[in-house]
Amino acid sequence: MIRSFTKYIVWIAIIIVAIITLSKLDILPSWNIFKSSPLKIDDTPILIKEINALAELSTISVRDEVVVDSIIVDPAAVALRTFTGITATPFAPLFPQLVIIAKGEVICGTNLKKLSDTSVQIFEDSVSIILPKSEILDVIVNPSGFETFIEEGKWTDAAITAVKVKAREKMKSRTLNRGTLAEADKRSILLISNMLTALGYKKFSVQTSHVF
Amino acid sequence: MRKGLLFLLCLYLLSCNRKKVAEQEIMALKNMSDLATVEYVVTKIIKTNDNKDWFKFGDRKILMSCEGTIKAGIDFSKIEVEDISIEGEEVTLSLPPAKMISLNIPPEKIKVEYQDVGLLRQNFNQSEKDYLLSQGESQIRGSVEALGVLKTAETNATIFLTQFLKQLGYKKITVRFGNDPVPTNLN
Repeated sequence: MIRSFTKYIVWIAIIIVAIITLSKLDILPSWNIFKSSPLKIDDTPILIKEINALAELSTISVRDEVVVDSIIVDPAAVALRTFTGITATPFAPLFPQLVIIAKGEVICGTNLKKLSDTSVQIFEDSVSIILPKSEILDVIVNPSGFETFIEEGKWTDAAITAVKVKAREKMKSRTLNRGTLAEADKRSILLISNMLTALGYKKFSVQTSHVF
Repeated sequence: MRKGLLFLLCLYLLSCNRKKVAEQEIMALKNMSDLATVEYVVTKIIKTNDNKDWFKFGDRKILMSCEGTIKAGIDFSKIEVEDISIEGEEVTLSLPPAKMISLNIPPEKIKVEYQDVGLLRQNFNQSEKDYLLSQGESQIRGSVEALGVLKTAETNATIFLTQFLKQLGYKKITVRFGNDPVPTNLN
């Protein structure tokens, strides 16, 4: 009796060890029947709203990552809690908090559409070009660049958009504070100079319309 | 005993030191040489229905709309000296094929148009919405060729460079792209 019982125990142990080993080796299929299928969007058409001609010479790209946060303080809820110790919404956090990490790109360069007829002047075999000053052409923070680190409490779509716009503005001001536009100007001058050299000009002058 | 208490006190004080860590500079600067010649403003509807699992009861669907700007143009850094040939007042440019330069979907151009979440289901959180929107972003990126963005970018590049080279005194300008056998001449 005891012998057959021991035999069963040994067999059960062997089966358990085998199952564990096989699942560790990823040979067994997943038995998680409560596994959620990933969210997927439907295929919908892309509609063209506008087409615009450009002449933007992008010269510098700044990849950046910023953290922005926001907190909603409801004075009524704070007063209620301070004086009575009671919270109106006991299961929700007292201060809704949102912390977002944003990864994006700031593109600087020259808008060549601003070149006027007087910007390019030719004197016999020499050329003089005055380029428009460099500017921020794009601040790109796409949905794939956002990561929500903390989202506590209820947030309206408008409030979340405001936090994301704050992230974009932070990125823009960081780029400006770094003096990137001056570097972009130098690079625009270099690129146009290289082009003129390739076009066979030996005497040329390329400048931007402002001095830093 | 006293030493132990002192040690614990030190440990507590050290752990309470909430010195603000200086904001890290994560900026990465990269030189570019792209001439963007066209922008397409496009719109897309992003919708999903989270009812595919047997153990989830009740509806959970969302419909969002977004607007993005695709910019495309020419990479100047790929132009070699041999790609430019000059004969008197005639110039021929061989340019690399147009490419997508950027896609920008600003946060304020994203709208949740409709959301239906059953009593037993959770609302869509921001991470989920961003995940769905990033799928839409990928679909827009993948459709650049089909939308004709690159072709328009090449046409606009030809127009811009022809005007620019005319300002530089050239009379006949020919622009061709990649292995395009037929040169584009807009004189």
